Amino acid sequence: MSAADVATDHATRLQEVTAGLAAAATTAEIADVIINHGIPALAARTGILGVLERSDELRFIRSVGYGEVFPERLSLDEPWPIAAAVRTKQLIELRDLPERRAAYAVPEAVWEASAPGTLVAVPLLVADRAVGALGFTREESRPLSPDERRLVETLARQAALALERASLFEADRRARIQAEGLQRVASAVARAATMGEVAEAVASEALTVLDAAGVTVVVARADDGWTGDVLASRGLVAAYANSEPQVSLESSTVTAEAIRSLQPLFVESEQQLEAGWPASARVAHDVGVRAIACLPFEVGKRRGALSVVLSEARPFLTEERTFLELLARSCEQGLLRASLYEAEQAARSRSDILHALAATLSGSVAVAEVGSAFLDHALDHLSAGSGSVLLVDEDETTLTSVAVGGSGATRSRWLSSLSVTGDYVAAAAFRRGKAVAASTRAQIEADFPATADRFGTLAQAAYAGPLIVGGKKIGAYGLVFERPRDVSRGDAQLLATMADLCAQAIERARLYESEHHIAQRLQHAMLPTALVQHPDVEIAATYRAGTEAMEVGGDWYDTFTLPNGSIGLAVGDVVGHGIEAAAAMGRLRSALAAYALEETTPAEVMARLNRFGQSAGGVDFATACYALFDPASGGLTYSSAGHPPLLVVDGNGEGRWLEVGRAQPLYGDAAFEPAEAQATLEPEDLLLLYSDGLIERRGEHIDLGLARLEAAARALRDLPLDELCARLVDDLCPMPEQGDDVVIVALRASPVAGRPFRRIFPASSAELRSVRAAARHWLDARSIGSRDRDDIVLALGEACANAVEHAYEDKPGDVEVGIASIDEELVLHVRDFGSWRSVPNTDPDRGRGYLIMRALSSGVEVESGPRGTTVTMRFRPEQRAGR
Amino acid sequence: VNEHDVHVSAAEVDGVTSVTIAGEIDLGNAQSVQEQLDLVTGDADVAVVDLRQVTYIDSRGIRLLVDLSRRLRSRGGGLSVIAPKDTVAGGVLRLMHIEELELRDA
Repeated sequence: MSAADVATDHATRLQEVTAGLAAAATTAEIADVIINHGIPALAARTGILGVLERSDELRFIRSVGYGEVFPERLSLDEPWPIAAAVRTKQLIELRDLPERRAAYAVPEAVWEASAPGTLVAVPLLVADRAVGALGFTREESRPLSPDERRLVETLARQAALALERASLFEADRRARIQAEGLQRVASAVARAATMGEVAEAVASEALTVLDAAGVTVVVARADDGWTGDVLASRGLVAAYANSEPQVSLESSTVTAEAIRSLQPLFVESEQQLEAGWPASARVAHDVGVRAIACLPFEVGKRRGALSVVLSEARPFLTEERTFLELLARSCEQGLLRASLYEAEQAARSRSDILHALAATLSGSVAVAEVGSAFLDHALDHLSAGSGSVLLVDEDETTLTSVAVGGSGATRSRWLSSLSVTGDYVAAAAFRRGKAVAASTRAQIEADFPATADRFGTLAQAAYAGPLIVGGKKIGAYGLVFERPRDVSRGDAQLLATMADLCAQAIERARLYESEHHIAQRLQHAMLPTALVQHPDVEIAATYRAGTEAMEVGGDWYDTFTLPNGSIGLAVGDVVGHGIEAAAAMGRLRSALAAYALEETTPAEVMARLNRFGQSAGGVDFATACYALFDPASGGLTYSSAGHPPLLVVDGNGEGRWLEVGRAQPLYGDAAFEPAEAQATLEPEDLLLLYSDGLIERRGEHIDLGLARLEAAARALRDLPLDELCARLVDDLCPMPEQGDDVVIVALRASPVAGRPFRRIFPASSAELRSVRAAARHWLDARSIGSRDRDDIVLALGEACANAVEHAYEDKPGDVEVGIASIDEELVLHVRDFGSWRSVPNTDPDRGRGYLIMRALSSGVEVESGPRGTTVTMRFRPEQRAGR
Repeated sequence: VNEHDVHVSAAEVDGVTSVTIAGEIDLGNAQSVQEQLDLVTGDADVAVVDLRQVTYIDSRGIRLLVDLSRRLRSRGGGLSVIAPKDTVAGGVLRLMHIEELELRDA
């Protein structure tokens, strides 16, 4: 190529370079344009371009022809031609490899990768300030021609200007992003209420603005300056921070050192990290972190730090350091405000809780209620999963649970009793007489293995404290958390105060319970221990004390047989509560039974009872009802004093009220006029005497209660009477804790034993129990031995369960059960009206069920057809051998 | 499920989970009893189930015990059932000769 051609070629190239640079926006694009044109123009084989960072290091943006051997960064101190060019701000030209080797100490691998001929290294200068360097090597050993030299110098000048422009542009963009980031932080921090929210806001902005790999905010505890809690963690380090939510500030980590010294730390390479902070280096290596900036701050007396990590090893630029510093200050101010707010909230909520607990406890009279109230408040405040209050027995060997609370999955794992010496968290608190804690699963396993065993991985933290009254340990409470959890000192103090309140309330409740227990025992002692037995009459009675709420009522009942064969039934209600009412009702009951023997009519008995009360005193007001039933004639004579009317339900299920024969209450008026009336009970008629607790509801008209009783009695009339009484109480008075005492006396005027047993019930597993109860009752009335009775009930139960389970495939349907006495045998049948097609033959229960039926009975027949299945079993109660 | 029919309680004595069942076990509550048994035996290897206060147990109840026994045995442990001959459960279990269940009187 002629000199003129070369000149033309260079001119063309420079034009292209100028155009290329104008279009290049980033430093990488600029480097590409320069190198791509420089290599052919200079007949070079390699080309490199580096920019100067922090005034002492070249960062190579582009290297062509060197493969992997050229470094990413190079200190200006290194004895390399390219570094020397920057230091001296002079173009360096070296003829060949031997000359290069003689003058510079560059690693042989780099020399070998380079082309062996001429090397040129030229500084990139903007107004005499170096901003980078450019270098080429070529195969040929030939000095640069003046044209080539001009070309190189022109390329260098153009590159320098373009880089300066780009870096200003980038700096401007970064500054804008950072300014916006700080503004966003400021507004997010202003909105954040808690320290956690402040930390989260700061972490998330730092991550986006710096394009960092991870951000963590750590703050030392208020009550333990050597332990830091991770308040927020984002990016690469988040998983690690979640597994280690606490950090020791005594350790030799970057964060700990920055916090201790209150000096920012910038670690910009793995080597630097390994040399200074081996503990951090290990974690950093594991999660892929290569550079760390850590900015400490102070929140009141608590120290903390904002840590930003990068996944590349690089220096933190000056403006990045400034940005981080400003971010750390925002964080500091936000945290300070939030910590004051949190402290105020915590103090307020603690005092609120104590007030609320004290108020609840003042109304709690049962030990279980006290325990539950304590747990409700404690669990709610600490967001714990569940808890238990346990009391120790007299010889201090066993802790027995009196209340379990919480809604977490751990709730059902609490034991009802445990040994005081066991490795349970609550037992440990009891033994030591002070609170114990385990803030992680590992700590539970180490310190309270029995608790760890019991709760499995469900429990991630545990806390327990003793219950102490007047220096005496009466029990302990235990709480488990379903997430790792440290109970702060403030909360521990709160729990201790709550536990004191709880322990005192338990002692009060125990006193109250023992007093109540005495009154209850007195009342039960005064109620009859046995009912009248009569071959032709079925009689049952039930009494339910008003409540667990510790009131003893004055309801009573009695049944007795008079010398003429009549049966006397009485119920009454003494107005008043507690031990006195119980004593008064005992006197009335005895008096009535005594007068009944002497007087011939119920009205006369009631008149004397009224006089007895007036003379004996102790009772202000009472109601009673006394009825005399003659089983031979079915005749009923009765007298009521202020008592609600008797109810009769006949064999067809029709109800009628015995409205007449009623007078005013006893002792209300000296001029008491007894009333009396007669009625006749047909066979199968059901008679109910009861107290007002069964029908009265506060704020409701009495007629509604009466209608409810009539409907229930009609629906339940086929039940054995003891079950009927129990069901009436359950159905009509579902909330005993709000109710009055209830008594019921029921009489059915026909012998059970004479009738075959027959029941039709809906095919539902919930019905099985009551069917069995009715059959058991029927068998008892026939004086079948208890062993035989249990066998028959079991065989019947199996057959009924099969019918319920298999006959109707979840569709509604009925099952019929019958027991009849034929000669010496009892013949039992269970019939359904469905189809058993879908029953798998492999059902092990069904197989076992049949085995049971066969083994117990003297014969089982199954008849299955399109209209249903009937199982018939025969029993010979007295003759069956062997058992 | 009528919870009044049956009551399951548990205590741990010398590392052995001891479960007491009282009341009636039938089709109507077998599922619930099963769940409660699973819960209280948890990951125990060895358990004792006291059936002395059981007033009714049929084939559904027996299956619960057999299942529990198998589960514990598969972990190298086992189940003992307290059901003396003169109790309801003792009678049924002896009648059925369930060899998988170890019966005890106390």
